Amino acid sequence: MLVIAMTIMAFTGCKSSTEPTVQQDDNKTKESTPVTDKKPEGSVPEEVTIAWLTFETPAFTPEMYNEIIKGFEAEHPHIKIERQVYPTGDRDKYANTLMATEQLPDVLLEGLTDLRKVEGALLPLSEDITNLLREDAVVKYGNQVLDVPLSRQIKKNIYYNKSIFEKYGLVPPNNWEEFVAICDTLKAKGEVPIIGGGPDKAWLTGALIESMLQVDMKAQVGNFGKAVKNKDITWTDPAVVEIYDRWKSLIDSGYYHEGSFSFTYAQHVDEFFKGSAAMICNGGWMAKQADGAEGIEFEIGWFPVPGKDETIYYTAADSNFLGINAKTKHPEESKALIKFMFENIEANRLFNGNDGSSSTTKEPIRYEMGPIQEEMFNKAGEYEVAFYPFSGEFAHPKGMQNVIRKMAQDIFLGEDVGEQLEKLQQEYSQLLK
Amino acid sequence: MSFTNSDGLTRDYDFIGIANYLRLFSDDKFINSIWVTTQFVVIVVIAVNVLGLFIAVMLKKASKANNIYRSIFFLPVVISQVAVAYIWKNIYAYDGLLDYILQFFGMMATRINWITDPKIALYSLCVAEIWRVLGYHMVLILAGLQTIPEELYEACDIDGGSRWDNFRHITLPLVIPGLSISMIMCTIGALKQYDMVRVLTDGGPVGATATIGYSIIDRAFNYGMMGYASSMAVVLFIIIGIITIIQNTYFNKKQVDY
Repeated sequence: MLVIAMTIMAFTGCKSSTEPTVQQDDNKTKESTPVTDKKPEGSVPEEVTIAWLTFETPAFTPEMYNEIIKGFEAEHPHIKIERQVYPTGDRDKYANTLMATEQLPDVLLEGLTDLRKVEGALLPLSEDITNLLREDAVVKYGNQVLDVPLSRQIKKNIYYNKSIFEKYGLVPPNNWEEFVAICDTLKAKGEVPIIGGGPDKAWLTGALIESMLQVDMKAQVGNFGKAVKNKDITWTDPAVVEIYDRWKSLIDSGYYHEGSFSFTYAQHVDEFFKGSAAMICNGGWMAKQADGAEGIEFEIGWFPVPGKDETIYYTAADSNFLGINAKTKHPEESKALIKFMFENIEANRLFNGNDGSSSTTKEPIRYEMGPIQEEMFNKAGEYEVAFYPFSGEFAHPKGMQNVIRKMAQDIFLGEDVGEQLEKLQQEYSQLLK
Repeated sequence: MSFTNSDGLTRDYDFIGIANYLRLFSDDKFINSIWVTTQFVVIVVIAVNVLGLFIAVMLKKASKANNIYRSIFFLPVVISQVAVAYIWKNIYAYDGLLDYILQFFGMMATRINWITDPKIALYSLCVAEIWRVLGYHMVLILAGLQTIPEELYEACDIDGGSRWDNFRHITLPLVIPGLSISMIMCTIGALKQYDMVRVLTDGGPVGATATIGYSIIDRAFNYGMMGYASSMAVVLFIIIGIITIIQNTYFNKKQVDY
């Protein structure tokens, strides 16, 4: 009986673990709109259904996707979208599982990090798609463009409590030295200079050092990811050690809130909104959050992460990549969906507006923003970009991001910077093999 | 797989002989994970079985109250590991339930970082694990206790033996079969532990809770080193096998029949 039960469970388990969640679009309507594809005159294109794998967050809601799909299907009445949803957790791992079991959907939003490296997994995208994007947003792997980013996220800036700053006559710093002086003053006055977060999200603890590294290395070597991969610089280079040492000095000086390593993302933002600390390092998405937050008793300002010198860079990374399964039976329809996301202003606006990101289209697509976000986006255009090495030819190897972030946590907890960077260099060399 | 450099994604990998196994000896993280796992197993196995035996003896007599207590102790077993880990994560959080209770009773002058202090994170993990599995092992040991004939206890009473004599000379020797199964199962479970570590501490802080089970999954899926992770899994399998044989042999020798 036990063997039979286990066999039944095994089959049931196998089936359910490989079937992605399918969400039907509740707003499907069939409209008699003119045929828009390029079939010979007089012929009605065959109705096809394509599967689109998406992810949901408080920003990317089912309602948002339904709106987008409704708009797409109105423009392409012969194409129906069957939306699927990543379960919570690692999207890359989920997409890998789908690939291994030959269940990849036609179009994927994110989850493409590993698929890019698998020959024949993703359909190369043609110029009619890549020409819709800004040049610096188009990344080639070998000679092919395998996916395109919908969004450019402003990465870390420092948000500050204007009331606390005004109380002590402080102004946003122009460089690192001024930033440390601000922290000194705040601590001397009994205020908590900075609040951080714990390992709830891998990047949270090292949010500031990640940006410091990109900003200062941009000034010194240009593309840091490229320099490290080409071995022009190593993780144990004095310039890199010096940056980490500066960050550690903030921790050793007691500038971080005592609960920093224990806070989740939501907690550390809440604590900042309550006035528990004067500054918080967070992404561009927090600008939207700050604009919309209720009950905050002070005004919030922001400034870019200060570098050693006075050159200002804004840190960014492209995200929300769209790619097509190379084995799709509907390549043209899949391409049509991707093109729609860039060409249709409303769809693009809806998507990026929800995330608080900027578009990657040749002509920027703007949306209604709150005052903090508006100021941030306007100012960002004035600065050069220091890209995070998350994608492209010089992206860090798989697993490296995780190692860097865990190392930041270890340094935060007191580990020696030099030793940790030595270990990091060894891991990096191993992962590159 | 463990003799290859497979990343688990593509078919493009090579046979590399025993390179993965040789690498294990120089991998600080793997050696750390063995030490962490050893501490975890020793603490959890001893605590679970000592407490389990104690509670089983206390709840041995069939009664309404004992039935209720047995159910209460067994409750954590039916909750998923991930859910248990999230419950304890909230208990241990900054300003979480534990901090609140200790502060309420004035037992805490400064906050304790239960899962973010490298010195105590492992013990916090052990407490959560013990809480999770205690009920199951209590039931295993209780089943063993139920097989001990009452006449032996009566004979001991007649001979003037105390409760401690009852326990030492009758209960303990005759519960060996039940206890041995409990200890073997507990050891195997502790050696393979991943879910609790992943949710509660994610192997940190500073690798203080990175068990072998966690390290295998981490290497395989976060680093794309499926071949290397497979070699770690083989080593874990061998360790589990050896420990199980040793435990089995030991307990077989200790078994008595009256």
